[in-house]
Amino acid sequence: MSDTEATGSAASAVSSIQDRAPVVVCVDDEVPILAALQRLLRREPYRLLVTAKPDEALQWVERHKVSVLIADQRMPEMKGTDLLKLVRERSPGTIRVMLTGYADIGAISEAVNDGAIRRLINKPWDDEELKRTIRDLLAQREFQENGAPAPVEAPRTNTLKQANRELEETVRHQTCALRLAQLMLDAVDVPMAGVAVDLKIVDCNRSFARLFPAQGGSLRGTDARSVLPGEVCERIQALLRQPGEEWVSDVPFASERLPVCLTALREGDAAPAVMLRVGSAPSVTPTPRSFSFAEGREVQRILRDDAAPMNVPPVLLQPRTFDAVLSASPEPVIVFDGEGRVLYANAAAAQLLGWDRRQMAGRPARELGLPREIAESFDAERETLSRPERILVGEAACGTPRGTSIVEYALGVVKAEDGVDAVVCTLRDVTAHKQVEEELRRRTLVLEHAVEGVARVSRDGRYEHVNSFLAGLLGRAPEELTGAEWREMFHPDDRVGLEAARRQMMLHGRAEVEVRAVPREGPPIPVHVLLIKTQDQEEGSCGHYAFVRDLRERKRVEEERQRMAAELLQGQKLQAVGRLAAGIAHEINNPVGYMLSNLTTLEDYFRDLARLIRAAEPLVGGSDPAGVRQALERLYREIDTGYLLEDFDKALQDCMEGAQRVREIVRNLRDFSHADEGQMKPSDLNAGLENTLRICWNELKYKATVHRDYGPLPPVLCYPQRINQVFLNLLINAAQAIEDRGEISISTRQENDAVVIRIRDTGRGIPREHMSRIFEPFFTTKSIGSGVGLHVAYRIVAAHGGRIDVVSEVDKGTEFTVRLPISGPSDLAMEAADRESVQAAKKD
Amino acid sequence: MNEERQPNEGDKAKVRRHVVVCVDDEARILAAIRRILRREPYELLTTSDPREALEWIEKRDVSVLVVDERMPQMRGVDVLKVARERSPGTARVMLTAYPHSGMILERVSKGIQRLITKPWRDEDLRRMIQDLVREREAVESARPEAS
Repeated sequence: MSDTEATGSAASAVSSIQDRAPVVVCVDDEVPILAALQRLLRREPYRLLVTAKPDEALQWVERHKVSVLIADQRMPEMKGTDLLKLVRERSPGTIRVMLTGYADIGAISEAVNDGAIRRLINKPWDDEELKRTIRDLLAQREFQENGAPAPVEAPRTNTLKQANRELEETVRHQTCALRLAQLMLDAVDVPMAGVAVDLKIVDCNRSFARLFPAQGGSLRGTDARSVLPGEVCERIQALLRQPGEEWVSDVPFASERLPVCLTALREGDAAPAVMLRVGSAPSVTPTPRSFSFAEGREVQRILRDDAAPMNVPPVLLQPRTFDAVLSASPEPVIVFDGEGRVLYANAAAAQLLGWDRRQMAGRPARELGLPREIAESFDAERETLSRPERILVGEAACGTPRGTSIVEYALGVVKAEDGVDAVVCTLRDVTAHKQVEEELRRRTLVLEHAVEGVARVSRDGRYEHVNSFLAGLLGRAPEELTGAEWREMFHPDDRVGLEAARRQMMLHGRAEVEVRAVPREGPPIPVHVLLIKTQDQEEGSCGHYAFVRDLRERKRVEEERQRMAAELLQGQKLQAVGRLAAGIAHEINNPVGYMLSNLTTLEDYFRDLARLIRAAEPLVGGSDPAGVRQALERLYREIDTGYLLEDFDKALQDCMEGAQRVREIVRNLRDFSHADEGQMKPSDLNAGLENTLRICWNELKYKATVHRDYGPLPPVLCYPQRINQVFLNLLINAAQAIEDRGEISISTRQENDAVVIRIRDTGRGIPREHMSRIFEPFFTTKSIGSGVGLHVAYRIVAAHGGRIDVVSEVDKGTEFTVRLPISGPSDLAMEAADRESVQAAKKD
Repeated sequence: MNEERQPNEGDKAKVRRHVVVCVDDEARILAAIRRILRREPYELLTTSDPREALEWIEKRDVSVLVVDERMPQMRGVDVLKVARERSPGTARVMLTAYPHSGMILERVSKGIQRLITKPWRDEDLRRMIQDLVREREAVESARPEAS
């Protein structure tokens, strides 16, 4: 989007007609805003110029008479307030307006006070209001310039008032929101606090503050390290760096040890705060029986079944029997008096809390390590508890010798006949239960989110549970699959294989098989299935687990890899040939050069010969021999016929030779670049070497003398073009290794069932530290080439079932030895080679 | 018009004959160049050995030296560099099949006067040598001593 005048004038078509239309300038670094303004104001009776550059706006102000200038505050090059101040200096008559989203309120207020800003417009603006504002301002300006004095009220004051009002409004909003947030936080019973990056407690609720009675009130602004143990602070810091969630158990607070859950609150990429929650696991889904004693909260109560007393046999009323009966119960039972002190505790209670029973008598609940909810009940719910039909139940964390346990508790009030109140508290340690629940939840989560299909199959071959991945794969809802016959989900042809796998699993505990799954819609999906027998408690087991992995991706990646391998091969070949282009161009241009030249010369010679022939013609026709003889003599003097006859032939021969050379070069090139037909064939590697030498001859001839030592070789089963590529790469490497001049020696031999080709150079050699890496793709110490030459050579040789070795000495030279089996590669290597060549052939 | 038909035969006239030296490792190229220049009034010396050419540079007063870029014994650029040192007045021409940009830079930095690509156009080659010879003559006639 252009921010030149042209755009401005195009946008306000009406005003461009009038030269004297007032000019309004808008400056905002955000181009979409400028575009929006243009669209909005395109029919207004003024000329609108927009720019994202404050400098440009200043220029316009100086060059044109700008009636109104509207600027954004937040601009990278210059603040809006600064810009408007400059505008005021340079063109006091220009009305200055600030368009703002209330950034930088301080600067804006100051500018308004200073008189640098006449009007403030909020972003997002109201379209009509904006138009009206600009029109008003223009009218005012018009008024001021042309006629009566401007309206009495000082614009400064007005604007200031308005600005203040708007500010107040915003602040009110925000304060309200904050207040609401605070109230909500306090309403939550779980102690919560937020810790910021500087480890100060940003905020906390009342429940949290109560954990630290020593602080006496709000903890806001307190350094977390002064109230929380070091371990927790460390974890908080870790979470601030790496957002996540974790539990810290057994954190000591004033009166008890409690677990704490830390959650990093993310904003974008930063973790501006860590939230602490103290107490029971957040994953505990509040059951209808959960409740809290916080002020003003709804408390759920359960009515006892019946309040009708039952006749108690006298024997049970005896103290020792009473004790025995209650101690026979595995459930902890404690009876408190009206003041919250222990009247009685059974054996299980003592064991849970880790106390000696006799020590417990007379102690308040708080001291015993019971959840504070119980302790608090006496204060808060005394009234409620005094009604015998109510039982309060809940879950809380309880301090026990083993650490913190989660207990379910129930409180009921007993009114003794003589008026003494007693509160009966039964507890049930559900820690283990909760842990199992949590574990199950976690595992289910894991299963659900696994990127593998997981299914549990019952003994009779029906799905008990299918995770969402597998269900998705099969195109069905998990519920649909539950109870379905598990084999049905697979291709009918594969069921035999599945059965076999299942039998193997029964015997050995696990089995794997690759089959096809049949989704509801679409083609069968190749999958890998792992079956694991489940250990069942009962005899005669058992179902099994099936882990299903989608192979399509793997197959696709496989194919991709092969394709790339083939491309790499072909690409490297072309790259090698391309590098030789300079040399090949030279090779071709030389013969073409002298061919063309000689042909011109031959033209000349022919003309001379023609003259001679024509001069002799009359003789054949029977004319005067004397006249002809004279003419011929003259010509003979003129034309050096001896030279002509001799050179004509030479020139012609040179041309012939040149043309043949070109043909040969082109043929070599074509043979070399052409991809394989796709079949291995028995090849003469000596001929291949010669062919390759011809191709890169130009590269070699200036650097090295080439020595050939070809032994007799039997035909070797291979892809000849690929093997030539290996030779080419090795020869080019050899030439490049030689700095100035050197030698390249090639020898070939048969050794038993293999042929051995050695290519040696007297170049700079390979340092020891690089030796292990030279066959790596893209490894190169040269400034030219991509470093795949040796890698490709290695792969081709490997695919042929051969090997390539190297010895080298720095500044002495390098020798590569290629060994190839005469009868070609084994099946495996051949398959790989076949696949690659098929791809390559397809590309041609 | 009594043109010289024999290539490279000296005209024993008083007019001094300019010496043009061509170096290329390919004999057929030299033969072709000889054919093109057979009617020109220069003494044309050709060789496929750059060292021989450099000897001629030292012993004779060579007006134009044409050198192939790629030769087994020495690079054309190096031959021209030595020629420049030993006989700065000799015009230096490079014959190349692959005029890449690196060459252009080298040309400027190493003082090569002309580049001609293979395959060349006969007329271009002839005219280029004529121009260079004429330039040489102009320079010489400006000097007080006749050469």
